[in-house]
Amino acid sequence: MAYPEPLERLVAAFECFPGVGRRSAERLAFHVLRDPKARELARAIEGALSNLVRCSVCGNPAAKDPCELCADPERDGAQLLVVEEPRDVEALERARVFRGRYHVLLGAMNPAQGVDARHLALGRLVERIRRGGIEEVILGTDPDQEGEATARLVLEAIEDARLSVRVTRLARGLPAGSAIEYLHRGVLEDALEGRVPLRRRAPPAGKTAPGRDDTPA
Amino acid sequence: MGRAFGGKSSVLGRVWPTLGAMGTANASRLEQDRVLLLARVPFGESSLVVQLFARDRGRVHLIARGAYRANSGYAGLLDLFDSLELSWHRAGQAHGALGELRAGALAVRRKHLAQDLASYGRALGVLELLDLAARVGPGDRALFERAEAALDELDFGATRRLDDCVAVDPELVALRFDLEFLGALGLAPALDRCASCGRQAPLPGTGLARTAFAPAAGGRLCQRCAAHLQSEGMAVWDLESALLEAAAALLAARDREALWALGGLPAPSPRADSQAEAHAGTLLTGGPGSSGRKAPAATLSGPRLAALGDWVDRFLEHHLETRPKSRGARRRHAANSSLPNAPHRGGPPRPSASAN
Repeated sequence: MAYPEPLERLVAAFECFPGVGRRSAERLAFHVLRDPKARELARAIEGALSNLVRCSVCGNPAAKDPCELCADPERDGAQLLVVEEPRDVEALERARVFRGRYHVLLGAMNPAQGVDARHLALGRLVERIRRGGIEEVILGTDPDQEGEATARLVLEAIEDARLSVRVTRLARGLPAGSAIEYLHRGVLEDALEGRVPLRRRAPPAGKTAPGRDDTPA
Repeated sequence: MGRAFGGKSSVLGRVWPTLGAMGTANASRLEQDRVLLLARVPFGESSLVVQLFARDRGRVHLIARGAYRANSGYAGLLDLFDSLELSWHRAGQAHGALGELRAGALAVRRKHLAQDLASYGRALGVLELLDLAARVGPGDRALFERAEAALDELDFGATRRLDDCVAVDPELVALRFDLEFLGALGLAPALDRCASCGRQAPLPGTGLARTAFAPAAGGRLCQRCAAHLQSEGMAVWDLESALLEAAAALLAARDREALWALGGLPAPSPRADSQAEAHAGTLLTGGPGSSGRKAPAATLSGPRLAALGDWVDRFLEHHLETRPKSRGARRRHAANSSLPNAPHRGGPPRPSASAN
């Protein structure tokens, strides 16, 4: 027997979400019908859809425009970190490792999935850099092929616009907390290519470097 | 205990020798194959569901548990364009059930593709075609190997361009794969014979500049069949004969040297495929022994290459009954480009006016 029309609509609505097939959608729909908190979920969705706006500066979802991150005078406006998705901003903010500003591209370049340059917030990025005040653009797209292509696209857009700004890319290589024996060739290759020199401390003036001369006879 | 799977040449066998020591029950459910990644979808907190085109097993769907964890053996492994050697537990009998990835190793890394956006777009096009063709069940080893060869060539070209060296146009590589893909599906267009009656089409150089061509009939048509099929309502295109000859030459250019020569570039290595060279020379100049392949008129570049791309795209779309998304982006790019004398791409075919 077919589901009643309102239930069928709910199943179809869940089925639109990424990674949710028909059966999972049915399970979720029945869970909603059983769970007394379902109305809260409906209110949360409605609230998010009506009250959130996209920040006109960085493209991140926000309760007001410009968003708190763009409006914060304590943040370093000379550094701009370009990321693919708002989730990346959240991850970086949770980690508290970056005090500059962000620019969200709203996707990664993959024409086979219908996302190409015109779908990304590239024009707004170029305009933002052109307005001045930014010294370094850090390309923080994902370290996969789509992310690398997106980083390349951003770089070419900046170069085509002849903007004099330093462009850097987040490092690739060994993940902290892992072990070399478990890492595959690609990670090890990147780590070797991206190796950095370690600083050798210069001996203080008037002292010789430790060596044979310091060894007691 | 010896290895349960993987020959001496297997990357997985070298990197994951301990898998050979797994229990017999588990080993019987284990499968191993060389694969290309078609798509991946995040699942749960740190896992991935991946769709693969496996050399001997066709389309495979797997879950890679914990793939996003930093200490996972798959961290950063499951990426587009790379050739991977994977081992997985077979899925159950239920329709759509997922196998579970157990081990993986990188066989060939093609990391320069994303650094050259033209090559990147064409490489995505290769994977998109595989995605359209891949079915659960026995794989297609020949198609897999041609896809790997196309990705290798695109990566090689991208590497050269990054070093500011000349490289063959990625469109040429992509078009060769498109034609090979059609051949693997049994849809190769008839290029030198009438697709309807089988009679040999006029040899190149005999003076007829245009040829009747019907995708629904399977390719080139003789004058009589073209008139007959058109009277029955079949769409018949009017093409330059040189386009079909260029397609034949492209299919014959199996190795790098022959492909580069067709692109009008000096070969990057001294080795040459004399057979492909002779074949291409025959098709393009009308006779064996001719040195016409290296003449500028015989090379495939600029508007001539764009026209060939347009024709192959329309033929593919007719048989696939869909327009691959990566091709739509390419067409928009071509339409926006300001190439002088660039042919109109994507418009309807001109009505038939002549035939061979």
